[in-house]
Amino acid sequence: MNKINFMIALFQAAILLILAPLAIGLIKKTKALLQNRQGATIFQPYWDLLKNFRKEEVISETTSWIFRAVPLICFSSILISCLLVPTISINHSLKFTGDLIALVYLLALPRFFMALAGLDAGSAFGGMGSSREVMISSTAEPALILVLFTMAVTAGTTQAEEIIRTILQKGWMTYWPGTVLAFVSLFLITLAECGRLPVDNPATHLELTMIHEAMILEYSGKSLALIEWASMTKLLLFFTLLANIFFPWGIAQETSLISLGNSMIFFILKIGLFCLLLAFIETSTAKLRLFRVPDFLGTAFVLALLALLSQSILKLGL
Amino acid sequence: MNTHSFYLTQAITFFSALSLVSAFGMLSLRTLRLCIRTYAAQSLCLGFTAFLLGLSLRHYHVAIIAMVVMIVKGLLIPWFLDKVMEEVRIKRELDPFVSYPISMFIGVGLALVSYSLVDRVIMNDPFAAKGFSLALTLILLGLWLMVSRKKAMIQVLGLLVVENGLFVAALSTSFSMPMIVELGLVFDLLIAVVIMGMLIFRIQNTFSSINTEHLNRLKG
Repeated sequence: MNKINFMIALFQAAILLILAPLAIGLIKKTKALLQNRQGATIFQPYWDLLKNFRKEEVISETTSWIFRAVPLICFSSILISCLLVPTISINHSLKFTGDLIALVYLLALPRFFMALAGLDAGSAFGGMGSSREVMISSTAEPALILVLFTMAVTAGTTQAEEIIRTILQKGWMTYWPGTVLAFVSLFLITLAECGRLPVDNPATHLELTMIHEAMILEYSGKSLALIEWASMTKLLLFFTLLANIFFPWGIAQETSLISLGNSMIFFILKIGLFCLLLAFIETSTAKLRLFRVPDFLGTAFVLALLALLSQSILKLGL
Repeated sequence: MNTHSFYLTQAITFFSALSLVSAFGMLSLRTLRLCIRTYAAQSLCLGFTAFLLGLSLRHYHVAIIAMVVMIVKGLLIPWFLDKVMEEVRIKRELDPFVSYPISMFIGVGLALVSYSLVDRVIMNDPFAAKGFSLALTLILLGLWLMVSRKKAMIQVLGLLVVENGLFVAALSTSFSMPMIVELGLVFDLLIAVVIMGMLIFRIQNTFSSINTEHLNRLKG
């Protein structure tokens, strides 16, 4: 029995890794359709990754071991954080290994090393990208922690599974205004953390505006593929957090093939909806000026702060 | 408590909380037209809250007032302010006295102050305490909007947020004032907004800007 649980836990993490390129493909396709373009198929990110994995790698002579280690660190820490977030079942993740606070720092680790890698090659763009990334993440991280604390206070635990279980048990009781604030805040943070449109444009390599792209400019071949895959998975990870913590309906509560299958269908539907929503937002907004980004994240932080305060002091509403 | 009234209370809590959130939205948005939309949303939320409250407590005059409020403050006043914006052709507040993130944080501080103040003063009636602290928060946020911005349009919106706060105060402490008083207030407000719109026009014509800083200068 324990073996089956362990397998399901691994399977949950594998789902995120496998579906991540598909989610990106769906977003790109939807954006293309909304802009009256044909667009590549939704499976294009898989081919891109495969091609990059097959290509030869070029590494600058001036780089140190950090440059070579960063893709592995990024990918493995995203992989570990996938194990902490329940996707289709709340009984089978490896929750004894860590909670949501560990998750926040597992997501911060690759960012730190990515910034180092940007600096390591010594190119001007890399340094620019690193400094921008650090500026954004230093304002996004406290907001993320506040959002997760808000949900943790609702359930009385920082384990993602237990939070989801509490919300499923209490039903509509848990949907007080603070939850909505936390949701909006987490969505804004997702946009910033994953380099989506109002903060960073994922589609261009325009030198003046890029953030994430600037840091990984020196990478090629397998390393690039690993980093790209990790950042795709990160987006799907945030979507999973949004979908499963705020709308946990349909997630499997017992171990049976039918409920797991049902839960899988629900999961894909929810993620699909989030992808469509993101595509709509990305086509309808323009990129913010870099110095406006702290304002954007400040809004996210204040929303999260209000959400957390409304747990105890501010009794929002009549 | 049966499920029907449970959902009703949930809806009342939700919509009145949205009014607070929209006040913070007005503190964070730069585009003046979006601010006007947010004000409209706030008034509609408050009107809907009052409507549901009137129905659930069987104070039908509150429901009638709520409908008038929704029409006047949610539709007529925003429509008129939109017209003014079309004429004035100034779209954004660029350099407020206090920067946007700091003004949001001060907003949170004001909310905390009013909630903790009201908590100490009104202890025996939880409904009035919650409602009055919401009202006080809205009033303070409206005042803060008025003093921290330079554009006349935002200052008008700040005044309107203060008025919304007063509406909540009346609603939560005494289930709104007598109908004739409330209706009189709403129509007075409409006239006031028209006059303020004219004033914005005049400021625009005289200084070709709706920046109220220009008004400090003496003009011979």
